Amino acid sequence: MKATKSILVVLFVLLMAQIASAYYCPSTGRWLSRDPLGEQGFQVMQVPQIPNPIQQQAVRWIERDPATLQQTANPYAFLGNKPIRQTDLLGMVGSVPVSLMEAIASGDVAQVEAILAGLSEDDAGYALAKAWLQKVAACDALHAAYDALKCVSCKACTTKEQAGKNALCLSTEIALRQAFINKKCDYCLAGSINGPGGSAKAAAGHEAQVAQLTVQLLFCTKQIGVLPSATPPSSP
Amino acid sequence: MTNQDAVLIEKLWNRLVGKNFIPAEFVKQIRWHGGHDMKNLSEESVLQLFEGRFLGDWHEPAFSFSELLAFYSVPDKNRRKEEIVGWVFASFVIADAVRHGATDWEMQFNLFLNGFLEVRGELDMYEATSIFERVFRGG
Repeated sequence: MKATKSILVVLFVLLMAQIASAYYCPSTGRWLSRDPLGEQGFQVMQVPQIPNPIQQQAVRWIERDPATLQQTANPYAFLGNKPIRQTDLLGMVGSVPVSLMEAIASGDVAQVEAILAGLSEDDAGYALAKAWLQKVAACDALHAAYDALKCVSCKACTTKEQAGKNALCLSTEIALRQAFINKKCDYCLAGSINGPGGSAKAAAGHEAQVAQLTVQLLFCTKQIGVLPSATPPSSP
Repeated sequence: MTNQDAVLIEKLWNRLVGKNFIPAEFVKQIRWHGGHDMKNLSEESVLQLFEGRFLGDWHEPAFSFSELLAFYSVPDKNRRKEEIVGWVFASFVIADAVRHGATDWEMQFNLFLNGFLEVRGELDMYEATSIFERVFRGG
């Protein structure tokens, strides 16, 4: 019995490839022991993504984050104190002025423009501010475009052509509104961010409009097949 | 909007919000709820709509208040009482916009009804029937 157990242990060990100082099980594709480098290895991998100087051996910052030192007395400030609304996966935003992050978080175009005017192209935050302003302008343009359409339903349509025209208007409006939603415009326009319920509720309201317009588009599409044509077919 | 509509809104505001009704403050609330969709309607225009003296193009209120109806139709456990009064006002404006030919009920009915389903718990039967009568029979 004891011999059988020993053989099984030996077989188990033989089944695994020993790579470096950790055991790797080929059948499950998993390491059986932790990487001896541990978290230190993980942090060393992060170094090239972080602009601040770092001591490779000790894996510690050798200076405090300049963004927090310059902009606020709070060294723990993160994303303008809005960690729920904002994300910073690569840790790159820390070097962007906190005032810029706050202006973006509240959708304050004038403030972002004012901060941008004081930045040079090499400054951290310059590209972000510029990209954000472009996005706001694009969202504004989309909003103005679907506001200008003034589509109506097919209730009063008497011909195929009228129904077709309304269906075209509705499908254009739906496409523009969908682009507005997909671009997450409610998360950058001040009116949506600062309204009751915030961006999420504003976006849900816009989605409700799309649903309503889709119902009307389907009705128009149906009417195209039912209503007579304005120009009767010419006789042979 | 008629004086009768304004009285209904004021009574509702006093009961639900528990503050004195000031039209200018109410208009600010409405514009705040509307957010970006209300940017083409000034406070003065919304006040004119409330006081029944709006003489501009009804397409703009039709657009902004339709967006507002859609906004109020979103389920919200933390809905403010001001939003319930806002829904009543938005419904009245949309009814007026339909009468002016700027929109039609086919485009607005679901938004109106979904908003009603969201706020009905806060309205008594008299208020609810008065609103429906005003919206569908004219003011």
